[in-house]
Amino acid sequence: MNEFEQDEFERELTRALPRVDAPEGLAVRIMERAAGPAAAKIVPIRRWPVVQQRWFGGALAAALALGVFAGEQLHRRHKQELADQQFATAVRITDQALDQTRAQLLRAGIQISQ
Amino acid sequence: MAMDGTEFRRLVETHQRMVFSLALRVTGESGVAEEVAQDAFLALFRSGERLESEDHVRFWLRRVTVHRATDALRRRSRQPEAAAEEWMEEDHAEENSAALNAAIVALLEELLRGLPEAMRVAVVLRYQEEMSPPEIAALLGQPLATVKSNLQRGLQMLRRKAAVTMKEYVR
Repeated sequence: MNEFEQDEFERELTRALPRVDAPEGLAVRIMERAAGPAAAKIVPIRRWPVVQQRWFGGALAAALALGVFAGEQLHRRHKQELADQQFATAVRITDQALDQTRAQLLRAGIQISQ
Repeated sequence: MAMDGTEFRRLVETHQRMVFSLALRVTGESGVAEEVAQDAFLALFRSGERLESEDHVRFWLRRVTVHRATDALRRRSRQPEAAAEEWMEEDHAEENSAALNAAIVALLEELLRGLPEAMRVAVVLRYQEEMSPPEIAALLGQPLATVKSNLQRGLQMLRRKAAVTMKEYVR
C-alpha cells in the first residue's frame, strides 16, 4: 500500500469536500476592484521589497558616510588633544628649566630681569 | 509590472472556485471567504510576479489564499459563524447530495470547522485540493513531518467525532 494511499474514510472526506461555486458576480467585483482606486491601496508584493531595498541602500550609504565623517572628526580631535598635551608638557619643562637657571644665576649674584 | 487585464480576467474565471472554496473551508464564513478571495486575486494582479505556468499560478494563489484566510481567522479569533453553515445548506447542499448524502456532507463540514487551524488547513488541502503531503509541505513552507502530523491528528479527531455521531457510515 502506498504511503499516501487513502482509506475509506479519507475517500469519503474527499467526496464530502468538493470545490464549491464562487458567489455570483465575484469575478466582476474583483475586476472592478482591480480597475478602481481601492486596488491602489494594495501593496504590490514584489515591488515593496525593491522600494525598501532602495531606501535601505540610501540609508546605509548615508550612515556609512556619517560614520566615516564622524570617525575622521574624532581622529582629528584626538590628534589635537595629543598636540595640546605635548605643548603643555614642553611649556612646563621649559618653565622649570628657566626657573632653575634663574635660581643658579641668583645664587651666583647675577640678577636678571624677567 | 501589473498584469494584462484580459489575462487577469481569465485567471480569475479559471481559479475563482478553487480560491473561494479554500478560503471558505479555512475561514468557515462565506463573507470573509469572499474578501480573502478578492484580496488574493488583487495581490496577484498587482504583484508583477512572473507566473510561468498554470501550475505556478495555482501554487501561488493557494499559498496566498491560505495565508490570508488564516490571518483573517486569527484577526477574528473566534470560531466561524453560522453563515457558512447556512450558505452550505441553502445554496449547495442539493448539488452535493447527488454524490453523497447531504447529511454526511453537512456533518463533515461541521466537524472540519471544529478542527484547530493548522490541522484544518492541512485537511482542506489534502482532501479538497487533493494535494499530496509533500506538495502541502512545499506550499505551506513546513517540514513534511509537521504536515503529516497535522493530517494524522486532524483525521483522528474527525474520525473520533464522526464515529460518535455517524456510526452507521464510518467503520
